[in-house]
Amino acid sequence: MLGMTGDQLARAGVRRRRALVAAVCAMGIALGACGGDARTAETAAPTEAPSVSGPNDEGADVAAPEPYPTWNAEARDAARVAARKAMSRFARPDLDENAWWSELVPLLSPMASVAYVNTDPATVPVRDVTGAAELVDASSPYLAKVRVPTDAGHYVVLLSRAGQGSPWLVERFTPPRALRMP
Amino acid sequence: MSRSGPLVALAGLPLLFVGGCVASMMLITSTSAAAGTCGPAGAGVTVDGTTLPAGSVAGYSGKQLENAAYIMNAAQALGLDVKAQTIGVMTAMGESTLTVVDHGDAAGPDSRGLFQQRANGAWGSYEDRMNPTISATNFFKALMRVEGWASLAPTIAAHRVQRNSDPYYYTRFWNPAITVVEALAGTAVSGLAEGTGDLVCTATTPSAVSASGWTQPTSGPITSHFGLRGGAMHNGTDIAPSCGTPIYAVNAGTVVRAGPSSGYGNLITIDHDGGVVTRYAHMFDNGVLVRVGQQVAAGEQIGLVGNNGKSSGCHLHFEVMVDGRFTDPVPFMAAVEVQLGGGAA
Repeated sequence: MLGMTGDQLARAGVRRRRALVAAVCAMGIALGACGGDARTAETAAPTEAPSVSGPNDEGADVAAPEPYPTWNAEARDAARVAARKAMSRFARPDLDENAWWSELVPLLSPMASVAYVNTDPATVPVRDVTGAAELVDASSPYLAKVRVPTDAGHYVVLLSRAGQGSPWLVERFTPPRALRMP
Repeated sequence: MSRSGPLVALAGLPLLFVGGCVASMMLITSTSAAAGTCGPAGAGVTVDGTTLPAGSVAGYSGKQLENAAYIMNAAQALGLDVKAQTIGVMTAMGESTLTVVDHGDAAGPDSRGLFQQRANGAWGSYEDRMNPTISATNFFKALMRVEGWASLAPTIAAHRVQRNSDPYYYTRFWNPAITVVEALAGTAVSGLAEGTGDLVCTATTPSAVSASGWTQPTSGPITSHFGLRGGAMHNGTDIAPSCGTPIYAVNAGTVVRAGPSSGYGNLITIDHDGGVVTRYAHMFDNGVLVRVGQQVAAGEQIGLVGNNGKSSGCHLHFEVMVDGRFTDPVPFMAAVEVQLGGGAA
């Protein structure tokens, strides 16, 4: 996917999606989405589930479904902005530890908010974002790899989102190779 | 580079978790005897310092292997298992190349010894920090204070103690650490596998896949169906085998989410391309076996059935989304020749 323009990326995603939806429809699934535009078709009204027996999650609060994401100019811009903003908040070695974490954690994914616990901001070798962020991998519409230039070299920020319109959150800040030596 | 400080306790790791963890690991032992499977780590091993390998092991030799032996024996003396021993060797590889370093680095000019411990009082005197056994013992004591350390990925567990800027830094030292630990132990170690330095544990029991390339997410009775349930929508199918039963990717795809999610406990989301997404819920922290961005094959193990979040007993809550809409997983899977519920795939 690396050399494709954004529009090419988006078209490839739509092609894959249409192919799979068509395949699933061909297999005879009553999705209510078959035969038309899957994004706008009405699904059948929900029916009462058979009664419950055994371990289950009755009463669990479940999030509303997120629209299946696609790449467009807005998503690409949002990914670049999110990566740059997160990198700037990460690169503050002089900030008090609690302030550093409380301002960074809203920008982290659920996985990253576990992985980056107990990081000492004073050890972060970056102080400044020095240029424009660049989207370098958009092979999944849920994930974005963005290269961010800093005073310590290029970091790669892996972002994820829950669906179209959901915020891009950081999964990982990967430092430049030169900083990865013992 | 390590600096002592309050080890942040993990919210979301209630005491209940410990029980669930042990139970699931015991089950795994009985259900998947294949080599290199997910935990439990074997007991710690004592290394005889007089019979160390003469040559190079994974690029480490002589004094470096002697230091690895001191590290392993320090863990053994504290009653820790072979996973902890390997985490210690991995960490010292990343900090000092298994050498008692008498100088610091950019991140900590006052760092010293195998673990690059700082002169902030938390790691003892200069002599303590330069002593292989004492510095390793202090590393392991700090590791033991990390709540749930054994259910974290090795690199994350090490990061909680060492407090660097990159929690994934130690990942590439996991494979050589296993090699060194096995060479010094004189035997293969159980419960550890290469390539898993940034994963909770290994998952190597693939499920059979149907002719159409799909498989069951897990095998067990359906305990709650998709649909309205007491006036509220149940967006998936609940399948309830024993705690710790493997969870599989139902089709090839990319992991786009993995981690805590309030009511779901933990949630794994796989994008299968073309608008089809599957989601897997209620795993314990040690039952999330994939990382975001990972490509998975159909039938690849991604988790362990748990009872985390809003859940009345161990089960998998399995969801299928098509173009952002929840779909009843039973007919969806039937159309790809996979029957949910019941016995093995």
